[in-house]
Amino acid sequence: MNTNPDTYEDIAETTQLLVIPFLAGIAGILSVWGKQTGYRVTLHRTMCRHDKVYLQQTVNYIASSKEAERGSGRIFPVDRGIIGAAFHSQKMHHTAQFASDEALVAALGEDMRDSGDERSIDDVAYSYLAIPFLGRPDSVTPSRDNDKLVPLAVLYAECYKENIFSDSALLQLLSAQCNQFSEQLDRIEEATLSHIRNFSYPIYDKSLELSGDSPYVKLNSIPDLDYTPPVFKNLKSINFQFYEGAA
Amino acid sequence: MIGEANHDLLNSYLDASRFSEGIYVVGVTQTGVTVYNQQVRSLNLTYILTKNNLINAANPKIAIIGGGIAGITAASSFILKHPSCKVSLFEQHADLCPLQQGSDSRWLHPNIYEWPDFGSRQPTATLPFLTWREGRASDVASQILKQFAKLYEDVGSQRMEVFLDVKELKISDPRKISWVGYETEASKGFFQKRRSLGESKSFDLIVITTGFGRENSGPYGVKRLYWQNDDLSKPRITNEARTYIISGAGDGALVDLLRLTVERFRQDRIVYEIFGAQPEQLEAELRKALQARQVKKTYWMIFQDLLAGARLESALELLRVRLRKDTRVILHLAGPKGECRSLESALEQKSSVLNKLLVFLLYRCGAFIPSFALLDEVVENYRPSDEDIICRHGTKPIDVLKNIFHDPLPEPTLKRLVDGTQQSNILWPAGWFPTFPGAKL
Repeated sequence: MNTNPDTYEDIAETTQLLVIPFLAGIAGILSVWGKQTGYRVTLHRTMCRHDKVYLQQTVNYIASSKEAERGSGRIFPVDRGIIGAAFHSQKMHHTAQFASDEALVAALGEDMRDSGDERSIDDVAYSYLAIPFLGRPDSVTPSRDNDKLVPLAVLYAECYKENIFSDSALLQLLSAQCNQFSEQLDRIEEATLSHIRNFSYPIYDKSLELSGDSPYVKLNSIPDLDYTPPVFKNLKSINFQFYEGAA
Repeated sequence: MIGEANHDLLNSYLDASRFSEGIYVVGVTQTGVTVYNQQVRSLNLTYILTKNNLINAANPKIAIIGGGIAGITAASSFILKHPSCKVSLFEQHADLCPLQQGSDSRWLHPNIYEWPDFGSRQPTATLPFLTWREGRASDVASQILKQFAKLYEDVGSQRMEVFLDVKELKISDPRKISWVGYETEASKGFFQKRRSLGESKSFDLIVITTGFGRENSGPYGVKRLYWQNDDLSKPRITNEARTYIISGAGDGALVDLLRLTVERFRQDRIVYEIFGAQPEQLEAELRKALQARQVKKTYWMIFQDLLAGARLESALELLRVRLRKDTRVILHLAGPKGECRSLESALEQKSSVLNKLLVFLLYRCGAFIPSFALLDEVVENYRPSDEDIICRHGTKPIDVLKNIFHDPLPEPTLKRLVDGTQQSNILWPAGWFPTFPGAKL
């Protein structure tokens, strides 16, 4: 039995199969760019229950250590950490540039104290990145402005190498990968594979009117305005499943 | 907690489920019964009982009466959510889920009866455990029982006991159950009878999931039980067309009508085959139109409007080319006393929107003959063979309930249960139920 206090719900295996290769590409780049210092990457999708919106981890972390490969199906609020910051601002967020390791460690320690994070500072990564994927979900209430973009997913990455996400060459590369991923999913949505289909679910309007603080406010205070987040043109939510299809 | 349903809703659900102190009923008195809905009702009850602190004994002894899918879902939920409880599950037949096991003719889909709602075409149930994907009823039973057997094996007889072939089960005051039946054990996903015994025990909580009992036989008997394998979908291999009478206006009757009139019919595929690979726009229009029912529009009027607006023209054509050539079907809709006089009013009775719409289109294609005479007259007029008179007149769930109580049931209690609504939408917050490793498809 799963005794973890976090809440979990299953994610369709087809969805996981679709997301893993994308994350593997991101992880491969971080592995090289981070000079083998260690990393974790995953994608969270937006979903609703009883008029509230939350994020759900679509796959286990693609990580440099086996122990970190967990978390698929985990559900958490949308106002948590850098992921929450990216969700609400609808901008890419990443760790700020620090002039020295000492300054970074001091800021990180302060942030961890402020947010009640009791882990040892040696156990946490130095650099964080969150990129929202925007789109236009179905609405259960027709009143919403259908053109309004909302986050449908958030890419999360962390790396033990300091200042890695201040490197514009890396951000350009990751941003391009995210854009390609969203374009390809849009094409699948349009073309309709014969036995795999995205079963959209609606996002409740009220649930999107949220505000929240990022616990790592100081360390991750930078919304990066140089990069436009990827936007899904067709995709309304991420829920790909095998189905019998039309004969 | 993430996403809790509102307080009033939970209380009204509890009222609609409570038979007496410590005795609850899942779904038995409800309409809108599908395998998925019954599972959700079971889980909703566990959630509300837990939230309202109604399972408060130190080591609660819980009895579940009925080993169908609702019963084993309820049993699993208590085992997983209450680590100190012991669950005793009673099933009158020789195996669990006896209706669905071996039923290869019935196709089960978790949500298609909610069509055109969002997510209704999704082929998986996405429940925290005992979840399943669409398939033949026999396949679905197999998926669910495999997970349940794994849980049974994992927790052992200290936490759960399953009795099969249970006869003469009676509940007496306050929560005492007496029965004769067989102890079982699970091995490699299957259940074996061990030894027979007759016993009498008291429980802290009793949950009744007896289902709906035998189908109403009516004047012509039940030659074709709903879950029994049949050949209705199969083209006749002799050249003569065969005449069938289907009596009833619920989903059981309408699905059999569809199987007898549409070639290669299946509930999930038909949406894509008739309404196109991208049915979302039609679904959105239908959802909008169905809201208009609040201003007294019948389903018939809504479908007529869509047809007049050319939204269903291609569907009509696609259906027309698929009409079976080997059957003639009379749909008897009058009801037992001849109270229903039109297809329009028959479509207002409880059935899924998808089935209603398909039947409306079939009528436009002239695929069946609706009849509003008394059943005897219809039979006399068309003279089908006895086995081709298919009565889908529902079941008598209250009779089942009456049979398991030692004392007569108080009428006000029955009325409260029948009048109340047990929601079949999820009431528990996301992630509230724990998962277990065997709970995967």
